[in-house]
Amino acid sequence: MLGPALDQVEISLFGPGYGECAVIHLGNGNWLVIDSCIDSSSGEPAALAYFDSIDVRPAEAVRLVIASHWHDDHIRGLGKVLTACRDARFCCAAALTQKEFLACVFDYSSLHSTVSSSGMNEILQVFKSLDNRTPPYCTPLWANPNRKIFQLPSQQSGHGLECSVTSLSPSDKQYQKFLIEIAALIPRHLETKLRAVAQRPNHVAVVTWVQVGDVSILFGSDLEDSPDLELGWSTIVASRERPNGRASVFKVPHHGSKTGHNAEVWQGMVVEQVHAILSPCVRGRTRLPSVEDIRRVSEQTDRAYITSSPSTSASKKRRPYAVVKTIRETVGSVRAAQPPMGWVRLRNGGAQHPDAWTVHLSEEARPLAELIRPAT
Amino acid sequence: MHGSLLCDIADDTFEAKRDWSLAQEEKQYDSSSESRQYDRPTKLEYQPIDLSQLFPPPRRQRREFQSTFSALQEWEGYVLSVSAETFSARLIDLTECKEYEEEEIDFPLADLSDSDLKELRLGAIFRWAIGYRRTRGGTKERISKVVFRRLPAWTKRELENNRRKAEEWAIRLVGE
Repeated sequence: MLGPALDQVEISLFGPGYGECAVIHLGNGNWLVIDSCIDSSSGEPAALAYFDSIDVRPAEAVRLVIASHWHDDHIRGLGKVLTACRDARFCCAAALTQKEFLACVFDYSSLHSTVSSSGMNEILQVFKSLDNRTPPYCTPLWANPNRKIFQLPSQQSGHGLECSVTSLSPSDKQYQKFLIEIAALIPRHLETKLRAVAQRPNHVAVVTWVQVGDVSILFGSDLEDSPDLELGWSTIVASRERPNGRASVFKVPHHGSKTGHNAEVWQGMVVEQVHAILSPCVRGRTRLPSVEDIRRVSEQTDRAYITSSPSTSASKKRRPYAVVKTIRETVGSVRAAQPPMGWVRLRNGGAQHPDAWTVHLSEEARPLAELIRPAT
Repeated sequence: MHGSLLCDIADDTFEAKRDWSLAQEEKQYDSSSESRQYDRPTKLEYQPIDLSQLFPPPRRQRREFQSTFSALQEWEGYVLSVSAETFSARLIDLTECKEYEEEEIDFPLADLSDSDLKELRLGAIFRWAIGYRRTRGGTKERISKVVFRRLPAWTKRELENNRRKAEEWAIRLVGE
């Protein structure tokens, strides 16, 4: 597979299976990784598999790795990614490095069980990876509202345009709310150990704004909206310090759900007919985006793409007949936990045509509207 | 039983028997002449006690046949959600030594034992095994069993250690 040209901006979104991951080429071989997911077929982080396929060496090329939040559907394999990207700074919400949350990480990492501990183990791997580095790479950058966490001067960008990465959240109130919610996760003495249950809504999701010259890209993470104007998207939209401009590419938050939707974001922060990308989330009986979500996003833009359909099939594992029969008699069927992983890739026209995006879809990916309207 | 305890019991019994014997002797000699007192039997002349009469022989324990279970397929899972009749769970295939959850099920609550129902909550971890059980007499039956793992509880020491580690790491992560 061919990688982007040195002056091209590229955004690749992978997901699910298990989680989602965005890989961004800023220019001149400088890459940014947001979150991580595991390709269920290979068992490897999707970002590393992609870099390998386009002959990019993550140890030298990746400049910044962002963990948008700690839920395991967004950071599976992030420890491996960070270890491979040894020259990258790591950015996360400050709340994840506070002792209250770290205590929970250690508590839930000691389950002595095969079952992973809801992102806690992965976060611990990330911090252990940081601990093995030299300054300043061992210290995380804390995501705060309107903080520039990375800059690439125009002379180094390959296309002559200055690049910057700005975090737009979490706010102070989101930070406090998160610490209060973490208190509910703290285990009690003599309580039976179990897997950590992720709290919803997500209050410490890091929303990221990437600027390459006049071209902007908005990554919505899993931030959900809230009636409280100091939480959710409202506080970002209302901020006067956030970067100006409207994004021409929008990673739709929270898998397109209505809880991640804020009309003012579509009206005020992204261009009309923005290139919208998202990955599905399947968890138990929950399927995101739902049919209603698909209709809502499709009404905002005709250029919405999803990495994979939000539906799972029966597990395709081959098992002895006695096992298959027993499964049929007890639970009916065993289904795949996630749809197969797909990816959506956007590349612009380089320095000549920075606003002209070319879309490439993997076999599983498709235009979002096709999910409710058959392809012609 | 411990040797000294046997001796204690033997001694107590001996003394009880001796006391009783002496009491009987005293009754006999009570109305007797003084000379008879000098004919009272000494301790050494008493019959030795047969300890085997004190402790019946051990009953031979009949060894119960232990049924065996051989698993064809095993998963470990955690509970995602609980509804009125089922619970949803994610599964890791232990038979294939997988590290991530690749499968999901909806399991009927009616199939859980009363003790497992008490353990059912979000995040609870369980094992599901399908295989054959061979019982006494060679009967073979195919069974499916779900067992909620009663993982060790968080101890006070563990929680305190983790808090201490958390404070150390919070300082390390800011580079101090």
